[in-house]
Amino acid sequence: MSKKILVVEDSSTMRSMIAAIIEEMDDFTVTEAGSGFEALKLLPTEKFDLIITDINMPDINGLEVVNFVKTHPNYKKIPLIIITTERSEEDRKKGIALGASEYITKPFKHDELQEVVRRVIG
Amino acid sequence: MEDKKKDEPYLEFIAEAEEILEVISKNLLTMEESQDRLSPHPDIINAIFRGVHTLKGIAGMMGFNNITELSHTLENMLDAMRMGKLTLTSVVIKVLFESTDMLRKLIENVSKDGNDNIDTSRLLSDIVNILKKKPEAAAVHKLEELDLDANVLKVLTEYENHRLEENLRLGANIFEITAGFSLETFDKDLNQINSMVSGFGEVITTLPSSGASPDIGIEFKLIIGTKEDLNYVTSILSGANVKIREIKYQRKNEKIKPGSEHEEAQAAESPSSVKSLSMTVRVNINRLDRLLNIVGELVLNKAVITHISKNLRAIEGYSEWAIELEKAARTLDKKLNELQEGLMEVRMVPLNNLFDRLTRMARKLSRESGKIIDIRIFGEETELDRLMIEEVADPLMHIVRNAVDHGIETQEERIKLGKNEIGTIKLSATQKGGHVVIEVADDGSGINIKRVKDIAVEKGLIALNSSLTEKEAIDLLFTPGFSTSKVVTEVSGRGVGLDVVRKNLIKLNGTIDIETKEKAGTKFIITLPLTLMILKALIVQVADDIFALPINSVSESLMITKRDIQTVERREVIQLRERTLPILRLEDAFDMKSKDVNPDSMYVVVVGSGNRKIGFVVDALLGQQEIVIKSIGKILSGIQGVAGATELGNRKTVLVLDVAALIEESVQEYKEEVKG
Repeated sequence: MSKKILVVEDSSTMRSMIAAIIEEMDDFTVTEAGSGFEALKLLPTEKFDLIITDINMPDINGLEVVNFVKTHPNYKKIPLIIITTERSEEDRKKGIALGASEYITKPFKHDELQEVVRRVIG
Repeated sequence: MEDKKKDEPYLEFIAEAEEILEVISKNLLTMEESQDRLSPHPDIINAIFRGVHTLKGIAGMMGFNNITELSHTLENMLDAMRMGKLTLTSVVIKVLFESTDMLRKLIENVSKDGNDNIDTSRLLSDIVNILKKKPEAAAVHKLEELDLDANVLKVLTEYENHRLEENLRLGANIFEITAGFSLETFDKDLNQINSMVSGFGEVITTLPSSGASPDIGIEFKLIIGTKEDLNYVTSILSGANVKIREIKYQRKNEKIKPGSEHEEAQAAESPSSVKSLSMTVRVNINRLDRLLNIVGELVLNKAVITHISKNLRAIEGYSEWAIELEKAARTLDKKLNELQEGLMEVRMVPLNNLFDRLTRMARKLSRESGKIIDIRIFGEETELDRLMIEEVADPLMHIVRNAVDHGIETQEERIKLGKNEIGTIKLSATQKGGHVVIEVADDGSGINIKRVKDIAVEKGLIALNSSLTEKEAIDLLFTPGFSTSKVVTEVSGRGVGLDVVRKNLIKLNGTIDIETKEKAGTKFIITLPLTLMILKALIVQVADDIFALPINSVSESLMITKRDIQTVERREVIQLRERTLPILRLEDAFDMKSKDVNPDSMYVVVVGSGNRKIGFVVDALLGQQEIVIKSIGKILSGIQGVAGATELGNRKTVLVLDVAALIEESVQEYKEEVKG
């Protein structure tokens, strides 16, 4: 059975690139959320195996997505990968402290992302 | 390349890049159109930052190096701006516009030729130069000492952290709004609350949590910053089903030995406004008014006791009782003074709210008039009696409005004159002894003294060849006749309603002065006493009636005989140290009948200042006394020349004279007589 990954990212280009990279790997299907709000709405609809979220988003930020998932009785077991940039080291540390399993820094290469995903839900 | 152009991510990139540029342009325009373009809403800068940030990310993924490099450098600049490390200047705005144009060119190139090979080095070095400027030292705030759920701080991004600190630095109040929603509608519900909040403050963060019933609903905490208080926030959000809590600052390390360096450092770090959150009690002003009224009545009672004490001594001489009573009266006097001062201190509030209101108004007006004005504020922490602040608001609004409308020139004019194209209005306040000095200074056109004189001649206010000093000429602007002149509005714009401004300020026992330099600007200097209600007065008798004159409008009093009075141009005057001083018989002013129509000797109380001095003729001087001015009822309020009423020690109610109005009236009558 293929694993389900929720990608939370407000840039449509970035989102579809991540989706394309992940779907190159076998046995993964991607659901895309264009904002934190959208992610909150999608969470109860499917059972996700992994969430990949950007940090810098309007409405609610990625740290809040991590915190929400990790403190929610229904979702706290879902692992998360945060997408950060080289400038936001503080945010990355906070994300890991809140319970994110891994981070990946933009811009990243195909195999970098694939490797991180495999490491988390291999 | 041809293959790449057909890629889905490639097409997606072009589409999104165009969208981002549109968002950036829109925000730049909003910033440019708002008059306070050098201090835009933080959301504007953040939106531009976010756009550039996303563009950098996706261009990097696609391998467009020039776009990545430019947006990366630009992102550095925008990040410094949004984090308060770089001040927005006209140069920065210019670079922002140029960069947006360049990014658009680069993306057009990508969509046309599949590459971004355009030289961007000049623009890059411009941005790098801006970034070289030293960052401003930002105040350090201990967010951990906020009465905030520790989990909230854990999820704030660096930027949100900064916004929270910035709100604290600017003295805003922080609130936590908690609300539960259904999973289906929470986004719409939240947007509604967001738009309500953005009307009076800033949403710093929106924090979701699973809440009580995780399967059907979701709970949100919003942290907001606003200048408004809890009552206001509650009233605005009363329709929404939310819980509101004010986040206070809890000072730790409270018990450090006085004088230690550590404490001093601590004191320097915590801004006064934040400190006040934990150290103050909010009291309704009505309660303070009630207390002050009681003190006022006590002051009157004290006067009764002093009165009795004096009488007793007159009757009994230095008897035991007379001495005891005198001692008791003196102690009462001293303690009452202390109580009064203490209460006055409690009523003092900082001027920052009023200054904020003035700034908002000035920005709105300058937007409407299409002028670019930088409004600067100094000394907004200076305190003034709460009531005084309300009373001085209108005169200040008037002066600021004049400065925007008529003081500051249009951008084109300023450029033509070689001035900075951005005009400046400086609002400042300082305490000097028992007074507060508020200044409104603009770097506009100044007042054309010659034109003022010409108009005064035209209007018959002064004789054709009268020699006036500059100060006397400026004083003419406060003449009522002057203000209505349209010509003046066009020429200097300074005459409009200034007589009313001065009248209002004099009612507060304040003064107003103008300093002006043609083409360089004008400064209005307002001096106000710290408190309003209780003042020293000279008590005078006119015929059978007694009046009180605020002592600060009295410069001296003298005794004259009827032979000292001369008549010049049908007007009674006396000679006072080689100057002619017009006199006003108060019994005439109030249509009273004097007992003795022509007494041999009488008193003259000299009031007013500068060339607006006048002598009030009274029958007797009864001494000085502290009085509490109370407003007179509506029926009497229309009477010219009366500022209010007060009770004296012998429980007699007397009228307090409005010195300024009486001077005005007398000058007007004189003019009419001369004309007639």
